Amino acid sequence: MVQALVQAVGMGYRYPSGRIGLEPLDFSVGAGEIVAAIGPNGSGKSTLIRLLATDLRATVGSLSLLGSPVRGSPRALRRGIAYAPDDPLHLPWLTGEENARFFAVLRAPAEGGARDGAAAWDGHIAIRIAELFRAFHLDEVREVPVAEYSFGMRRKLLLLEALAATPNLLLLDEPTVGLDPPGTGALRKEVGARAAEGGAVVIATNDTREIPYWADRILFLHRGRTVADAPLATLLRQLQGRTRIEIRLGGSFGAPDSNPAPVGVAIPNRGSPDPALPGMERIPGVESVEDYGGSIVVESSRGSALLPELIGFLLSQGAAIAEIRVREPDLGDLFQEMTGEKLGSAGEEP
Amino acid sequence: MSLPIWRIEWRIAIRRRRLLAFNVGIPLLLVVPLSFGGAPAYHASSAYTMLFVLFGTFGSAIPLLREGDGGPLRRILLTGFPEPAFVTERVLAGSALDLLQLFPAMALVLGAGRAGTDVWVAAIPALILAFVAANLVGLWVAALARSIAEGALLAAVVSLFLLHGSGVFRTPAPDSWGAILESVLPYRALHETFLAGTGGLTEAPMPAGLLVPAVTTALLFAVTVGCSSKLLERISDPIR
Repeated sequence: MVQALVQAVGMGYRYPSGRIGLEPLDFSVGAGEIVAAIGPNGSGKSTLIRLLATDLRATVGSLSLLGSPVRGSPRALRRGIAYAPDDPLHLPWLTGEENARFFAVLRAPAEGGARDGAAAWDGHIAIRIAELFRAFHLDEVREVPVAEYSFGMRRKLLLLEALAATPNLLLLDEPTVGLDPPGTGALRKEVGARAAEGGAVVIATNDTREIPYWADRILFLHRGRTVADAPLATLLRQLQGRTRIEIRLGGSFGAPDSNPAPVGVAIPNRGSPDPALPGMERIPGVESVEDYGGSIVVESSRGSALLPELIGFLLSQGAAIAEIRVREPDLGDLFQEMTGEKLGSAGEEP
Repeated sequence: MSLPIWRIEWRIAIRRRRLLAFNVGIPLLLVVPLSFGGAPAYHASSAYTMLFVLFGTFGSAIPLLREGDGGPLRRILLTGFPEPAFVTERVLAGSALDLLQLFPAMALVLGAGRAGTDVWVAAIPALILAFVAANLVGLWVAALARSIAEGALLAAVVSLFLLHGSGVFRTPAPDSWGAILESVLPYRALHETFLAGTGGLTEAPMPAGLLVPAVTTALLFAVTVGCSSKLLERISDPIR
């Protein structure tokens, strides 16, 4: 049986103002597991991460971290946890390397203890930090004061500091914000390595394109509530056979509205129902048709193989086609289906 | 012992050379007109003591409040670094830096007053004691205040009360409660050193006279270290 490094039972948090940050939830993360907590702003994912980092204390329920209940001073627990918050705070007058070493050395007394242990820790940290500076392409600026770093560089340094300590529990809040593709690649590799070595990783994000595919399990959060907690594969199965074909019609066909909604905007049934739609639903492979007034969204169980028949049908009805877009559904669509709210991540189309 | 907080405080101080120069230069500029302007010893020594104590208290409280308010203090605590060690290293580093930055001003005062060797010998422990106490008071102020402005006000008010209790603004009647308070508070020795250095006292304060305020300061240090977890939690609380 896999050891649970995080075990929350009915854990919730209410802010001093009375606002609920997180409704009581049962949640566990095993050794070697990567969990992505996904939700829009204000959904409770950062609150969850901060509870796990012991930055906040649960107002209801209980939490065990690394096999010990969080009670009294969490100092000893914190040594096994690395938390990269969404705000890249550093000591700006020091160089990147000095910052990295400082935050790593703060963990040394527990790890080292004796003089020899502390020396060994210093040596280990120096090697690890050098590796991470290379991996995140920060090698050229390691001797530069952090005050001169760009936002992306400071984000990378923050992640590097969290990873340098090789923690048992790694907590990352919006880790890919501000990262370039090499940085994202390096992070993915390091997160995978941490899990492979038996660590647990929890990532808070509203990205549905990249991070979920690093994870073993997805936790959908919405307005502080858990909407879904399932393995990625299970959620992906729910999306199978649901290709979205978005067709914008030209001319006057199907465009009773003088200001039609752009393709993909989820305001169905604007304008008058199009007379062609009932016939379209009879095409094999068409799961559903939504009329947005001037544009039609078809859900296909045959993927883009449905396109010739769809186009043929519309042309036979005298329609002028201005634009066709085929989009495979992602976790954002599933989230929207479950909650009725879009995630609104930066990479998502409007 | 790697003493990471002590080392980082020094490294930051050395890296911020302009600030270091200001912290040395401004006290010098402030004491020059008093030292060479013929100010009466009692008034001048009160002004010097106030300057040194406020410098130490503000220098401890304000950076802590700034680091707690969206600064790296929370990050440091979340690494699991022991709070008692943080407080100890931080107070000692702050006091040592204050000593480095204000010693030139003190040397100028004592030099201008043609102070004897006995005054110079008494000056160093008095200065150390005052700065350690001021740094401890600054930490408590940072924990009680909710903003930098509030911290500045509170630091000034608390320091002025302690200075008053230390006999800086008036001499308490012998055998009164005021006299007992004066003997235990940590700023009296500094005041008397300045008085002796400017000719207001004929003798330098005796080293034995430092014992009681040293015990008071040590007690305050012990209580602060004992409460370090709660104090730092308050200073760095993101939702205060």
